[in-house]
This record gives sequence, structure tokens and C-alpha cells, in this order.
Amino acid sequence: MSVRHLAEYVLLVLGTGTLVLSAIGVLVMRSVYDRLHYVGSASVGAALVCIAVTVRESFSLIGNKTLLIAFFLLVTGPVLVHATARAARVRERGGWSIGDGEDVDMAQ
Amino acid sequence: MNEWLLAAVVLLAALVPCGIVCALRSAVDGLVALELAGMIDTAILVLLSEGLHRQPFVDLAVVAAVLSFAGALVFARVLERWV
Repeated sequence: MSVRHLAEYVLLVLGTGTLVLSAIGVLVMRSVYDRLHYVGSASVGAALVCIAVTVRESFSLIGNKTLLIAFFLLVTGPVLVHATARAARVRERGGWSIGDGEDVDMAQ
Repeated sequence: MNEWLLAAVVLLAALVPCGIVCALRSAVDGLVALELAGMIDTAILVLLSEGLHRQPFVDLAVVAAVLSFAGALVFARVLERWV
């Protein structure tokens, strides 16, 4: 087994394992904010799967596209998390800004 | 069955927890599960394309990644304002 095959297997197992653990985490956690953490880790897992295909195919047609997908998922994952957290907070508290009763230390 | 198809089957099983959260929890929790399912779907399509040696099918994964992102953003905005 060459180093290249070893690398693609390691990336495939890591990516698949991360996605499965993320799915279990979303099921097990209690609040929406706890669940949101696992969306960020899932974007890394999906990107690892795509990079595994890139390692196998090198920079061919499919390799470039999977690299594009990996980059896209890594960029858009945190955006999704932020948009969903914002929606959850607005639904919960009626607004995005800091409320009167909230004690938030902005210096930290 | 090669290792790519095996990983795709494992990821198909990972969609079950997302479906459970969508069905049983609140709308925002369901949105989180939907976002996760979109990422898993994208990975599954990439793996199927590689495992079945149908390289043009990876275009479906590109489209799924973009559309699941856009759809999740629209859902988040709708949940924030109107629902």
C-alpha cells in the first residue's frame, strides 16, 4: 500500500467518522445552540471526504471539483451556523441586540 | 462493494438521526438537522460518484452543496422573521 492510498483511506475514515459523530451529536444534544456546534464539525468532515477523493484522483476533472466542494463547505459552514444561531436568538428573545437584563462583558 | 460505496452506506445511516430531529424537535432544531443532512448528502454524492466510477456525477454534489446552503439560509431567515 502506497502512501497515497494510505492518505486517502485515513482521510475517508476521518471524514466519515466525523460526519457520523456529528449526526449522533445533533440527536443527543438538548438545546439548539448545543446542536449547532456539530454543524461546524460536519463541514470539516464533508471536506475531508472530498479531499480524500482529490488525493485519489489528483488534479483531474473530478479532483478539482471535489476540492471546490471542500473549499465551499469549509467557507459556508460557519456562515450557516451564524445565520441559524441568529434566527434561534431572534425567535427566543425577539431581537438580535443585547437585552436589558443581559449581562454581557464585551471586553473579553 | 468498494470502500467508497461502503462509506456512502455508512453516511446514509447517519441521515437517520437528522430525520428524527427534524420530525420530533422544534423548527429551529429541525433546521440544524437539515443543514447537517445537506452536508452529509453532498459527501454521499461525492462518494457515489467515485465508487461507481461515474465522474460526471460529481456535478450533482456541486449543485447539492450550493443549493443546500442557499436553502438553509432562506429557511433561517424565514424562521427568524415570519414563522
